[in-house]
Formats: sequence, structure tokens, C-alpha cells
Amino acid sequence: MGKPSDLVQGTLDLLILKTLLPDAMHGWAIAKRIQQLSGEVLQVQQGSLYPALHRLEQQGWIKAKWAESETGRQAKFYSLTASGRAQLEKETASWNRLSAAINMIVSEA
Amino acid sequence: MRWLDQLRMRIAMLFHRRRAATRLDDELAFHLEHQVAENIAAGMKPDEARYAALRTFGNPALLREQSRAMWNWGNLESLLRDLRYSARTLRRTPAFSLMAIVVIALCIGAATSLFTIVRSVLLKPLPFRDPSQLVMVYEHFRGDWANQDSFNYNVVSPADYYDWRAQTHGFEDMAAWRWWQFNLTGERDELPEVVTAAAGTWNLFPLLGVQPAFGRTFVESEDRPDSNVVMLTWSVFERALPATLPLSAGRSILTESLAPLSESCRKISHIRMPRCRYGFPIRPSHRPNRCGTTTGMGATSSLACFPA
Repeated sequence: MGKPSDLVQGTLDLLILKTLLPDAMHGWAIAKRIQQLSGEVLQVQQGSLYPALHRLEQQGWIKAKWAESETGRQAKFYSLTASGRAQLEKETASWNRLSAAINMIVSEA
Repeated sequence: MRWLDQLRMRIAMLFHRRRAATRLDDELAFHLEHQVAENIAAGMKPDEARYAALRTFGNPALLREQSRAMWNWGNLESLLRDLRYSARTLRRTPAFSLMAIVVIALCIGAATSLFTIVRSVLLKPLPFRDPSQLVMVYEHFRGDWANQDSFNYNVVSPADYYDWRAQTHGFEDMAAWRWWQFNLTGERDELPEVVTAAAGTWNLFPLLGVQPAFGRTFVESEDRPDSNVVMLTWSVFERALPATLPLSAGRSILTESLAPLSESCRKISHIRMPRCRYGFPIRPSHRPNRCGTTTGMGATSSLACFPA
């Protein structure tokens, strides 16, 4: 993902929020987790990940904390807030609606 | 609350830019290191791994820009930059900039002073209740020859005023006032001084909606020729009466302390202080040379009325 389009940006937010649902993790772990969970299909680049993380943080859906990572270095851990959880549900619902609509059109051909 | 957190972060970004910038760099470096480690684990050589990682990293400066754009003071920063640039440019040509500044200052000053005058004279409402409903009613001269003068508003005779007030349907109420003058004598053998005063009907202040600072306005029973009730303006009150006087109305001690006024024999039986200072439009009226009352109806010069 180079320059994010609108659609991709929205779905990246959704992916990040979903990834942070179980526990808090830092940016690298988020990228890795998304890569794993999607079966190596989606590879998030740093260029889109960190702006997205900062945007989400600014909107109050995730909050950040500096803590020690597993390698011993300091890293910024992100975790979901309550409003982030609500936003996640909302975005999941809209994504389902959207993908169902696109599927209906595409699979009719 | 989200907006509160956002506000807090923005204010923090205002003061802790450097710390936030280094933290951002730390975060990105952390990610880069992990990417390099992964590349090495995948079998690349160290510098190759680093190059590969940097390639996938994208443009770090762009990354930093994008993240910093989230901090949301970009507009302010660009404004500051523009201001600094314009200051430098102006300093390069001092004569021109000085001229421009002087011209702009003159124009702004002229406009401001003009508007201040206009506002205080024309636009500011009168300090009365419902001033847009206030009208002045006058009498005209009968003959055309007398109405040649541009200002042919004449005083109103008292009988006319009473008739109008009783018979009008178009006005909520009517009151009359006129200019007056008194000699005010002090209580400790001070020299008497002439004070400008006004006289009005008893309902003048209620009609205008003016409340005295303390005491009361006139009552209807005082509206007769031998009345001896006055209201004092604040300046007269402060100046002519002792400062240690406790602020209460209707003290009998005050009655004796004020020597009888020479022009007319009256005693001050009540003290009232109207706080408002209103400049009545200047229209000279002839004063009575008899012993009039404060609420006496000499030739009234104008009326203040409320339309219904």
C-alpha cells in the first residue's frame, strides 16, 4: 500500500482497531499481526501504518503508552479505548454492508 | 471526552514538539530495526537487509510529515512562517514600509474616531426603557410666517399638555419636562451656587423607566405648584451633601441643614438620586420668576411620550 486511497484508509483503520482488540501492541507487532492474520495477503507499510496510528490516536480511539518491549527497547504500545471499541463495531458493520453490496454486484456477472 | 483529549494533545504538541519528534523518530527506528532483523533472519546480509528495510520504509521525511500533520498546528506554523517572511521583506525597504504603515494608521484612526462619534451620537440607544418608542411632541406656531424658521417646534402650554394626556389614544403615557435653575445653599455657610436643574411631571421617571439610585421618584400628589420635593443628581449629591451622610432618604435632619433656597422657598424633604445622566436636547425655555415648584408646570418646552 503506497499512497492510501480513501477506501484503503478506511479499511486500514478497521484492521488496526480489530488487531488491537485482544491486547495492546506496538506498531511493528500490529503490522506483523495483520500480515499473519490475512495469510500474507495484506502487507502494511510503515508509510501508511504510522500516520494511521497517529490519526486514530488523535481521534481518541486508541491510546498510546511507552513501555518496554520484548527486546528490551522502549516502544510505543497502542491499546483500544472504549470509544474505539464502539467505533470498531460501527466500522465492522459498515464494512460488512459494503462488501456484501459489492459482492452482490460482482458475483452477478 | 474526546475533544478534551484532543485539545490536551494539541496543547501538548504546542509545547513539547521536540520531545514528540524524538519519540516519533524512536518509534520509527524501532520498527526499522525489527524489519532489518527479520530480513537478516530471512537470509540477507546485514547491509542488504538494511537497504531492503529502508526501501520498504518509504520516505522517512514524508512519514514524519504525515504523522506531524496529525498534530494539527500546521496552519499556525505556516502563518508564523509567513509573518516572519513578511517582516524580513518589509525590513528590506524601510521607507516604503514606513509610508504604508503611516497611511494605514491614519486611515484606521480616522475611521475609528469617526465611527466612535457616530456611535455615541447616533447609534447608541438612549438610556431609557424602550427608547425606540420614545417621541417628543411639540407645538407649532399657527401662522405660516412664524414657521419660516427651520426649527419651528414650540413649547407646549400646560393646559394643552393636560388635554393631550387626557384625550390621547396614540400614546401610552405622556410626561413633560423643562429646564430650571436653583440656588443651592450649603449647610455650613457655604456660598450658594447655581445649579442647573430640570422640572418634570410626576410620571416622567416612571415613563422613561429610570430608577433612582436610592429613594423614590415623585408621586402624583407632589405634582402641584407648591410642592417642595426634589431629586438630586449624583454629582450634586456627592458634592453638596456631606460625605458622611448615611445614604438614606427622607431624613428630617437634612431638611433643616439645607438653608432655604433664595429663589424659591422649598425644603428638601426627600432625597432621591437619579443615576442616569441624559443630555436633554437644548431648547431654551423662559424661566418663571415666581416661586415655582420642582414639578411646576411653567411653559413646558417639550414632551416625552410613548406611543401605545
